[in-house]
Amino acid sequence: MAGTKTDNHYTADKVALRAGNIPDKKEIRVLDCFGGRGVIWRAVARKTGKNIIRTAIDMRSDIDYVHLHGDNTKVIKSIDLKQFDVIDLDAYGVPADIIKTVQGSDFSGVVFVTMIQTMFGAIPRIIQKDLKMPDSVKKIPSLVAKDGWNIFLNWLGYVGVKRIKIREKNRKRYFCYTKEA
Amino acid sequence: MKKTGELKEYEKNSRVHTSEQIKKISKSIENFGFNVPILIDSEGTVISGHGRLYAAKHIGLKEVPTIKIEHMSKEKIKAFVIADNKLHDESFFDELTLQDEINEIVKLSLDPEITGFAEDEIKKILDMDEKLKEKIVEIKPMTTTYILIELPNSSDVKMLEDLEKTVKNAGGVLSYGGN
Repeated sequence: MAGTKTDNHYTADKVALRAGNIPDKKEIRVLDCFGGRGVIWRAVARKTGKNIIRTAIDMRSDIDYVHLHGDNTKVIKSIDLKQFDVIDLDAYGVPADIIKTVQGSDFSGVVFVTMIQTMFGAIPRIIQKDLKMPDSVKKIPSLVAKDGWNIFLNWLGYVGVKRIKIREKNRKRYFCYTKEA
Repeated sequence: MKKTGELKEYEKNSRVHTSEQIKKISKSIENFGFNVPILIDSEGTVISGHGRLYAAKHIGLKEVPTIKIEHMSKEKIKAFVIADNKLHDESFFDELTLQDEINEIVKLSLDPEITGFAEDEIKKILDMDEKLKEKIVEIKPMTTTYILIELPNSSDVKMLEDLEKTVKNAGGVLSYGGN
């Protein structure tokens, strides 16, 4: 599409997932860990009529709105997550390290994750370590490649996630879960 | 207003207008009128609006609205000619708001192509509806154990078959790989 810069073929699904699963409050405080331009949350606000107060983390230099500037894996460890109702990880990669930080925090609310599962050739070290996979797995990625999604679900269970709501297409996974404090 | 024949193109205009774009601008002028005047310097050279000038000629307009810029030096004009084009490239469409607006334009029985989007682009914009079903996945805590066994390539086939059988009987999967 002329003049657009993102591949948002499933944007409507991302919006619907969020609109249908945000907490039942008039004012929703969102920590958007992969900042970007805020298109999705603007659409959620329009669709739900809720007041969305969005705080973004981004480390790109071309962001022209007030945001927390820095590496999201580090920034998220230094702020009080209790003040948010929603944490958004529109990541594309596998944001395992941030999920683990959130799960270990006293955050209470909904976590939204977008990921394209291309990882299981290179399993994030944190998952490999938590699931006690031997180091030599790295040498033979084909051993675990086809079971990648199940490995990830296993790991979500390991960090305390009990159920997810998901929309998926091929290797694209859009899901959310509720985290209790 | 100035006669189109009197306007001079900026000699070193680096912006290229395709014939397809000129047709779109022409269509836009026919639909909406000539709403954005062409910027010219004191000698009648176009500073901003070459595309609109080509379109005006394309549809046979004899005169176009212009604004004479007199507060800029020749040097500054040189930079402005580029900046005026470049700065437009920095913005982007919020696709979902765009979808809402195009939908409304269609409902108002207007031709959405007068917005400048081509038919296939409009199709894509309007096709951004939900496509995927939402389902719930219950996650059982840690039900899988991963074991890596390293064997020499010369391992006995019968032994590998037995190993595969044993793993299968335990409800597992044996994956092979090599390095």
